[in-house]
Amino acid sequence: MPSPGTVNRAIFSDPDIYQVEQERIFARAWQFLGHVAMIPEPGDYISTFTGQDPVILARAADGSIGAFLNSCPHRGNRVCLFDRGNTATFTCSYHGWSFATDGRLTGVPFVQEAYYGDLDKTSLGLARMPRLEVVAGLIFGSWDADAPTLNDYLGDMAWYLEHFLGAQDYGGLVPYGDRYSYTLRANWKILAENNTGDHYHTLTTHGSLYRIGLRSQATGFEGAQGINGPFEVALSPGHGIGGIETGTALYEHELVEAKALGPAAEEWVRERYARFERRAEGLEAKPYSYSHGNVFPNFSFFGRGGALAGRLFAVEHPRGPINTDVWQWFMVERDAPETVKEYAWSKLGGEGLAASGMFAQDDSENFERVTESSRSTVARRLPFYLGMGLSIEGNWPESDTWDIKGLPGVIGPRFSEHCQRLFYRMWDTMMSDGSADGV
Amino acid sequence: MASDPSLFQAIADFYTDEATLLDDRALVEWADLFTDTATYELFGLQKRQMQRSKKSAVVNPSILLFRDDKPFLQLRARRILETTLAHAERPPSASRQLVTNIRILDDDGETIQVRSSFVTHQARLDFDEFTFFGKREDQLRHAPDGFRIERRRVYLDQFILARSLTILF
Repeated sequence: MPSPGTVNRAIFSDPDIYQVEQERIFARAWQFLGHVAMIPEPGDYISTFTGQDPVILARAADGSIGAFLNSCPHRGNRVCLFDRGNTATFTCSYHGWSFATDGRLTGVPFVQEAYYGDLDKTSLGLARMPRLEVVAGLIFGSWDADAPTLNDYLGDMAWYLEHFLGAQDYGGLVPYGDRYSYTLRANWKILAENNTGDHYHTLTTHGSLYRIGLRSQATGFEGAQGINGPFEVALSPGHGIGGIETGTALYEHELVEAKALGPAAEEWVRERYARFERRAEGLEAKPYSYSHGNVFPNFSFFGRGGALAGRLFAVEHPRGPINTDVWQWFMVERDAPETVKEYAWSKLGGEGLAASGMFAQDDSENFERVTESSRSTVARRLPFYLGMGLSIEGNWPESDTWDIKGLPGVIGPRFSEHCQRLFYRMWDTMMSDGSADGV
Repeated sequence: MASDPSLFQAIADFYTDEATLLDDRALVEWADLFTDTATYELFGLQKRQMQRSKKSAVVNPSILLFRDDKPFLQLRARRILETTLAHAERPPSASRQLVTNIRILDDDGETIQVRSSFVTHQARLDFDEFTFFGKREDQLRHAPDGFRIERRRVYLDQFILARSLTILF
C-alpha cells in the first residue's frame, strides 16, 4: 500500500491485478461453498464458484461432503448444469463420462472399444478441492493443499461464527427460500470491505429509509458511542464483524416488535433469549446481535438483530475487474415459528439487502460509482483515504467503559476503518509474498 | 380463447395507462392502482434439477424474490419521491415499458385473471442500460373508474438480476 491509511485506486479496476487475485487469492484462500443444511441428503448438491472456477458441492452416497471442479477431466465441459438438485451421477454431455457424487469416474462409454481397457479411472475423477472443513455449519474449501486449517485461517472469527451463526440452541440454521443472484458493475473488494467494517455509511447511503420511517434512529447512531455498541470488530488475519450490540436493549426492542406478529412470535423471542442467556453464561460481555460481517475474501453475512432478522449469506463472486455477481441465501433458525421466519424473510426481501431491497439498491449505486472512479488515468493516481481513527486505533476514547470484556478481536467504535485497513493488509499479504497462509 | 372485445380493450387501455405512470415516475398514482389488500410478488428463475427422472423439465422453476403489500409499494414510492437520499434513483432512471400478449384467462364478474408479457428498458447514468423481459399474471378487480390490481405476479426472464431493482413492472 502506498502509505498507511491509503489504498491504491488501481486495484479496483486493473485487469492484471485481477488476474493475480485469481491466482493468489481465489485459488488459495478458504472460501465459503455452502451450508450443511443446503445439502442435507446423500446425492444433494449445489453448484457455485471459487473466483471464476465453477465448483460442485455435493453430499456423497455415504453422507460425506466433497467439493469438485465442475469440469470434465476429458475436455473440460461442465458436468453439472443446475443450481441445485439431487443426483446419483454427473454425466458429461460431450462423450458421456459419468461421475459419482464423490467425484469418482464411474462410467466411460465404449471403454473397451475406445480405450482398449487402458484407462486409469482412478486418476480421472473430478478434481477435488483438497481442503474442505466446516465451522458453525458453514462449509469452506480451499484449492491449496498446504493452506492452514480453517480454524487458523478464521482466527477469532470462528468464535463469532459459532456464536451468531452456529445456532445450535435454536435448531441450527436452515435455508428459507432459494438462492438468488444479482450482478453489478463493481469490483468485489468494494463490497467485501464495506461488509467487513463499514457502519459509517449507514445514515447517508441508507438515509432514505430513516426519512420515511422504515428505520428508526434507535440503532445506535444518535449521540455518542454507546457502551453496549454498536461496535466494529477487526479479526486477524483479515476478517471483520460489526454492528455488535451487547446488553438487553435490542432484545427489549424485539419483544415490542414481536407483539405485532402474535403470541407465537412473542413467546419465541422470550424463549430464544432464555436459551441465549444459558449459552452466554460464561461470558462477561454478551453480544446479542451483529449486523454485518465478512470472512476474507468474499463471504459476507448479515443479521440486523437477534431473533427476528434471520441470517443473510452473501458471496461476492468476481466476474472481471469491474464486475461482481452477488449470490445470496436467506437462512432462518429452525426452531423459530413460521410467522417469525416469514417476517424475517420479508424484511430482507423488501427492505433490506436482498436484490430488490432498498438497502441494497443504494449500496449498489455507490459501489458502481466508486469502481468507475478507479478507471480513469488521473483518478487512478490518487489513493483512497482510509485514515479514520488511524492514530488512535486500539486506543479509542472511553473504550475502557465499553461492555466488551472478554470478546475476541480488536473492538472499535461504530465509526471506524480499522476493519477495512485489516482487510487490505490481508489482501496485500496474499497478493505480494506468495505465502500460503496470508498471515 | 375468445373474450369480450370491449373488456379486452378496456384492460389493454388500463395497462397502457399504467405503463405511462411507471414511465413518468408517477409512483404514488401507480401504487393507487392496487387494492388496499393487494400483494405484489416478483419471481426470478433458477436452474433446479427437479427430480431424478428420464425426462427433463422444459421450464425452469421460478423463485420468489419478494412479496410486497400496498403500503410497502407506497413506501418504495415515498423513498424516491420524498427524500433526496434514494441514491439509486438520483439522478432518476429512464424506463419504458411495453405490454403485449394480453390474454383474459377468466372473468367471474368481479375478478378477472389476465396474463401479459412485457419488456421494460431501463437506462441509468451514462453507462448502465438493462432490458427486462417477463410475464405478468394479474388478478384484476372491476372498479368504478376501470380496474384495480388485487394480485400481481411478475416473472422475470432472468437467472441473475440486473443489480438491485429500483423500477417495478
